[in-house]
Amino acid sequence: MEAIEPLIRKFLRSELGLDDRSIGNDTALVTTGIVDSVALVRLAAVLERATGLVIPDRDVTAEHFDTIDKILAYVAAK
Amino acid sequence: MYGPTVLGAVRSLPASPVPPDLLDDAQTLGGALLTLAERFPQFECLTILNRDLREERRTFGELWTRARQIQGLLASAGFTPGSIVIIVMPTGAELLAAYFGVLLAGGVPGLVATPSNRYADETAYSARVGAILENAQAFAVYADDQIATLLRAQAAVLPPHTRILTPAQATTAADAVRVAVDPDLIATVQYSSGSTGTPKGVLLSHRAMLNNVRAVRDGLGLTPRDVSVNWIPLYHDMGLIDAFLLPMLSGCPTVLIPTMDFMREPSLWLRAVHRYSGTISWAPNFAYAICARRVPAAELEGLDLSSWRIAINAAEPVLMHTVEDFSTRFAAYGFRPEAMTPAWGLAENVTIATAHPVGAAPVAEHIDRQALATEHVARAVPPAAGTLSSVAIGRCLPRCALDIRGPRNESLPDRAVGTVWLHSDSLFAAYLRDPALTSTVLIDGWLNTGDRGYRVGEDLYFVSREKDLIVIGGEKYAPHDIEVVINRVAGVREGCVVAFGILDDQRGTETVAAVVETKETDAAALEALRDDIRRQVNQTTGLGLRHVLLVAPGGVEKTTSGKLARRATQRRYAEQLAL
Repeated sequence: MEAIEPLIRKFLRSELGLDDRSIGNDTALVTTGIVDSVALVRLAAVLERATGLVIPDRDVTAEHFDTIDKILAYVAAK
Repeated sequence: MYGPTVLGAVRSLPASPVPPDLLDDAQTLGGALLTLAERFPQFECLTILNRDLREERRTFGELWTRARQIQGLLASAGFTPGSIVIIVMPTGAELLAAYFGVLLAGGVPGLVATPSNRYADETAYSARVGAILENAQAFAVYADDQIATLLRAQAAVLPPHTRILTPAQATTAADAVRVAVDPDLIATVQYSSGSTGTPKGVLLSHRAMLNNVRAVRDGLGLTPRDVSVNWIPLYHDMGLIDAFLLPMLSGCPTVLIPTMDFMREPSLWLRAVHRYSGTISWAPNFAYAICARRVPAAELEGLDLSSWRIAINAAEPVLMHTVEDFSTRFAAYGFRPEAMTPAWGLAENVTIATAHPVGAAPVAEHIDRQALATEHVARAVPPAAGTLSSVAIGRCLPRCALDIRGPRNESLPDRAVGTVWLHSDSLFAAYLRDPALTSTVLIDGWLNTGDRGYRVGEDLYFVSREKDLIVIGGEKYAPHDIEVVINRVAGVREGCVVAFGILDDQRGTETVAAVVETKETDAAALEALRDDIRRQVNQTTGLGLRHVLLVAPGGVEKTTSGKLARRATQRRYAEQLAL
């Protein structure tokens, strides 16, 4: 399984064109619209493919995905 | 997991046996389906493809049989012909069968969005469905098990005694088919615009819907040899009509991808066009931007888009650089620039009224911002800093006419910017239970579209919307719905909040900003308030707020009569709101 944080950061860079150096692990991504709703489900798919986890649509929300830390915690708990 | 093998490993779609003019004599949607089911029961008209590349096929005969069972369920529940049934399910064969099933029962189907991640809060979602059920005085809501369970748990925000029906209950066909024969009966109610609190039901007759389908078919030169591939949601007017009814009733093999599967794997759309040799597909601008910018090249290996002859770009402003980025990137995969087809329409005309000529590359020009703002004239100028790029969004389809009108309702000449009025044989009948609103937009057979634009010869250009609406990826959001949420956050000056959309060039669609008054001045408290606002808005609406500008009392512009002035506020803070 690939390390998750670099994967998320690569996604922010390559698919959203963001400078991820300005994004801390506690920077809000979803509630700020930095990651829009389309990019959010796409991120879930990228994580699924890398980890083999199944991430149901109903989990793909700010509650679990708003910051890199939250995503790491979510994936670790699965 | 991608590559030529996966792209190529497919049972090809059957050639359509349907004659090109079959729809010419159809009077009603149910009648059209009956003819197709009787004459071509074995034709696999529908293919559903999901992101595991699993596919399901359905023949006209199978769809008909399933529609009869859903009709039977309604009949056994005591259905009264003419009433509305709200259907809430993801794209799939059952959704299509349910749509027809309601029609066969003599009812009026209305499709409503499923609770995707856009609605994190189940109560907020259910309240929205509840407001629609109330407005529709719906006989029932037909939903899959998962959504039915969600709605049952939220019964408190639904109208009392809401009848929730599910597919497992539909087991026995009705005794008799009841195909509507009067083309002026209402065939569908569209709820894709309007705000959460006050849903706007656009009523469409059989005649209007079939006329629009025929106008689009003729305008685009669609024949049963075309193959339609789409992922756009069917609860949206462009989805229901152009992704589903247009191809299916025209006899084209119809491929549908569940919207969430496209969202997760956008390349699935392109790979499906390849896989089925798709010729026509519809999407809002943002989807082309995603494919041009976000899809990794590894997912496109072996892709061949040379079959694609019509790529409709509609339902939100068409951006020239998105069109160019997409055409440039996918030229290497056989995509032809002239396939990109900007179009324009609205639910009140069923769907599109204009489309760029098929087979001609999109046309754009640069106009002078100053002349636009002060003289309301679109003056073409050479491209330069400060000029505005403007894409032609099409010419009238058959039996449509446009008029650009000024403030005194006078017709304006070429290049003058005014309100776009539309006349066609597919205009909506009325807004449900709102004759006053209907009479403000439907006047002497002409529709006030609420869009501002201009004409150059036959070409229409879009400039702006008259109403304060936020359109993200083709989905409409009322600013009021976002403001209501922010107004409830502690620390906010209630009533002194505006939300609006800002165009994000990179994403090819709008993003949301809010200007919010507060008496708070402490930096840490302001930061906490900003987070709170963002969290509440996201939880209730699923939207992210790109900007939350917290301003002192008086910072939000209002009109002399005390109404919120969203655009004036947006202009006032333009510099701070730059993306």
